[in-house]
Amino acid sequence: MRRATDIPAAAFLLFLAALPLPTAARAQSQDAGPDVDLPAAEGEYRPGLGVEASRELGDPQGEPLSGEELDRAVSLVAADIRCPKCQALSIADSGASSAQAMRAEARSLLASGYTRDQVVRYFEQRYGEFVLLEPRARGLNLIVWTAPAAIVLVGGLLVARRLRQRRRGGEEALAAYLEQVEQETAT
Amino acid sequence: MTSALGQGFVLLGLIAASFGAPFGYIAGARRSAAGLRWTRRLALVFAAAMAGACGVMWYALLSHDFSVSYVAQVGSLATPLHITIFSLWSSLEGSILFWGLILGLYISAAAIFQRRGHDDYLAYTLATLLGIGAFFTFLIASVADPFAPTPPPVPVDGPGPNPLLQNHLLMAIHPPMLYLGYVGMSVPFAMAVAALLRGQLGATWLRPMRRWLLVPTSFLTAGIMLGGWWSYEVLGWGGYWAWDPVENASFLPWLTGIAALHSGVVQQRRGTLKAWTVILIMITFLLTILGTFLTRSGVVNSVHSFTQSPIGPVFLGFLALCAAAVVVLLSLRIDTLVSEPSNERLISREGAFLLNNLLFVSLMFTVLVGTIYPIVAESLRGVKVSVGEPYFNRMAVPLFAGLLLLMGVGPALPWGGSDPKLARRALLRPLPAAGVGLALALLFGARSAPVLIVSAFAGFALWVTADQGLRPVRARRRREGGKGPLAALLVAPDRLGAYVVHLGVVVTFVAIAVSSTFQREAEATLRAGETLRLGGYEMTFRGAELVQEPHLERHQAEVEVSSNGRSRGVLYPSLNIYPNQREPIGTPAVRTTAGHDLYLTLMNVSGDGSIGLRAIRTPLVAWIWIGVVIMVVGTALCLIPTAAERRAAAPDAVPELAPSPAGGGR
Amino acid sequence: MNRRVLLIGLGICLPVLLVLGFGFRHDPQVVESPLIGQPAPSFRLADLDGNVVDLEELRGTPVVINFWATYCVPCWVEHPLLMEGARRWQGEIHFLGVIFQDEPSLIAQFNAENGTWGPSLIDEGGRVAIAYGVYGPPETFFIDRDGTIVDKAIGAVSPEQLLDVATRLLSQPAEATG
Repeated sequence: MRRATDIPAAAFLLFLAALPLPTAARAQSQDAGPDVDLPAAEGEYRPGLGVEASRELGDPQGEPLSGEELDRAVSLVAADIRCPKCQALSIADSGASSAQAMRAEARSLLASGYTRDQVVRYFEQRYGEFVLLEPRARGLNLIVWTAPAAIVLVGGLLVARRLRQRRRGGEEALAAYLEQVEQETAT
Repeated sequence: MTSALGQGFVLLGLIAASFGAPFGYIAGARRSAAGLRWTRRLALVFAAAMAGACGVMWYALLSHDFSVSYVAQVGSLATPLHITIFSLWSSLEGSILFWGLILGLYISAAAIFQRRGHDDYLAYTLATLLGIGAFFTFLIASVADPFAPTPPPVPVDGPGPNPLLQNHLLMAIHPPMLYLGYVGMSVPFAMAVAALLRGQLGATWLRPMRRWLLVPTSFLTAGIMLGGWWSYEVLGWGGYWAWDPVENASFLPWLTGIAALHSGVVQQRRGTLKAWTVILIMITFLLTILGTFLTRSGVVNSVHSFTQSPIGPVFLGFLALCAAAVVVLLSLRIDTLVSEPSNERLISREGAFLLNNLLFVSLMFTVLVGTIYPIVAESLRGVKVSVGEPYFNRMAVPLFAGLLLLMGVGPALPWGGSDPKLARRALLRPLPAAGVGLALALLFGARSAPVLIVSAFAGFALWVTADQGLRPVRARRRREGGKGPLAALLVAPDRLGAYVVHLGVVVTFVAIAVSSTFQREAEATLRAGETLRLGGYEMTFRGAELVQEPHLERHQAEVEVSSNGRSRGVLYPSLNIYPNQREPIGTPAVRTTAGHDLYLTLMNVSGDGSIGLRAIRTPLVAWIWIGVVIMVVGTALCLIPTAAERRAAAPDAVPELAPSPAGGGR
Repeated sequence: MNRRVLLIGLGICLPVLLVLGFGFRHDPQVVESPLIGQPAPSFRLADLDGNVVDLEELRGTPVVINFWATYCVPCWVEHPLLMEGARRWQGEIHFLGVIFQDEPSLIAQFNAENGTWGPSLIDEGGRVAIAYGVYGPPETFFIDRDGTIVDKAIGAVSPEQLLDVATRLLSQPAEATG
């Protein structure tokens, strides 16, 4: 095996030599007309190229969708997937080019019969749990799922207890007041 | 030179605040009139120093003095004048300086307007405010120094502010509104601290406190709304609220602030919930600090985050200090606040207020847990997770629906432990209005349960709001009194204001429910002359051009809009390209009507002249903003002194009404 | 002193403060890839000249896949390092570039001016980038002889990381592959 300890040094020298590169590249990209690029239109793939999703996903477990049914399924999936490039936006809402690509991917998978769950799982396997806008209800995530109900419950119990005490307190106060009035009128 | 002058002002503010705070506490403890006078003077010095520092920064920005580091960071010769003015708050250090200015404004307002009838509390109040001021001036003087001299060589031009912030004028007013809300919460907090230290909480405390709480809550409402509007007009995704961590952070104090306003009503009418109101105010303040921390520390992934900086740990330290002080103070002094005895039932006005507080606080905790859970997951599981819109909608919508229901039920119910039969009758009367709301929703084609429920609740709430809001007019008419209906309403403007706010809330709720449910969109790649169709609209792309402006390049598409065969004008969605940023930033074009918005975003422009166009048709969006405007108007009404207060303000007036033991409608 | 208020107050404030404090230990922008240790998604892509590269056929040799674009500054920064790496380990490690959301014409121009370290593959529709869970360019995946992803770099690859991972990839015995 070749020893390659001198690589960092070589790379650094190359890096120095390449410093004018960024400016050069920038100048180019400006010359090249509008550098606002257009992603490929949805569903247009050259046959035989790209990724075979079936190999990653296994067999489709649902019915192939089309038309309005497909549109609805796509927007349902897209609303639950976070756009990796943007912040807090789903791929349904984001106009970023990678979000558009992910929407297209979801559409082609749903069109070939993968279920909503399979598609969501596909994205999760690739990008990690981070892309799920709603964390899965298991393990530690249960905190997030149970907290709201727990808070309302505890708060509700406190309110109920207060009402009970107040009812009693109010009656006692009224009794004390009546007694006082009685004493004063008696004297 | 400019740097030194600015730093001098900051130092002056720091000295005034850090002397004023302990001085004020001593003056308060000794009830010294002279001490109070000096505390007030120091407070005014602090405010003047902050104004001076901001003035120097504005001067540096406008004169493009790049020897000041903040100017070198956000300034640029090509930036237009108005954007240069707003760039004071476009980046971290400047925004904290601006924060100091607003704190100065509030402190001086408290020092000036709280003189009469509040001397008992004022020294403590000012001392607490100056303590907060000392922290912020310390920040400005140390880790977030905007006046630091730029290390040589001093550049001849700067990069200009963040393009997203340059893209729309709303950015000029959204942050100041939010800051006015955030910083303003310090005043009721300081008053709550004063009340605890004094160990008493009477009408002379409550009235001004409610007013000081109302003002920042209203600014927060407006600020949050403007943020949503900005997001809608600028970010181009067709929505206005994404449950982004920093949006949530501004939402948290708003929720508890409103809860405190409502518990304050109970306190005013019944003399109960004193300690609870104080706790809510303190939580609200802590949440504003938490929100600032989240925005500025970079611990959460957010569109609003400023870049990571050493300010985070310092802020966390301050938050911890405040939390510790609040918890200790509360546990030491809370037993001094004794509530009046009262009889409460669930089905009564008090019961509704209790449930209202329960829902607001639950909502706050839910949003808080969802917002910080990703940090928990990462610390304990080592995995990054997201908690986003679907989750928050699922959790928050039922709670909001509950609040809408309470907004109808609560005001309809009588105070106190009155006859249950009476209460039942009061609840039955508005039911037809709920039916009308439901029928209207069905008529417009709504079939989803949330929208139907919201419509029914909204009908109910609307009827009760109008009924209660106009009650003084009817009472006047029955008595055939001399004054007109308007004068009758203005006898108690705060009461009227409250119902106007409720009206605005109903409008906004309905608009949000409808707009988020019935949004429709279409997307297509268009060549010149081609048409995209959506919801009765025909949008024909006429052509795109490249517009050169001094600080940006803009691709602008011309889209002719028509519906029902009639032209509806031309819209120009565009993509802006800033020289220092590769990703273009879209500016959507919106056609707003009373019924719906048509929202066009330019997704991309390709070399062959075709464009990617996205069209979104959303019903009732305009009513969200209209509802918020109604809320703000209502709040303004609440600030007008009532007839009783006007009488009380007159010399030798009797003190205000003490809480009445038995209730009864006003 | 009201004990209950003290305990409840601390019970709520302390956990929140602790959580926020922990937040500083993590960079919110970096997300670990769940694909590390998993088989690399296979793909067939054509480069700018139309030559098709099939990842499957490269099995037996370590592969470095770099997702990049001409508009990304860190991509310019790491370019010379990748050139150096591709030259040094020629025939031992395959270096593949996958274009991430960029125009092939701009890539061609960039390559003409700055040289290439491997084929620039056209990922139409960005499907390969999705299969690899790419958040944004540049991201670099290191794949061993068995076709397993062993490491991933987010942002410009550092010389140390490239050297370290390359050494690891090459030290794996070639016979281990089936």
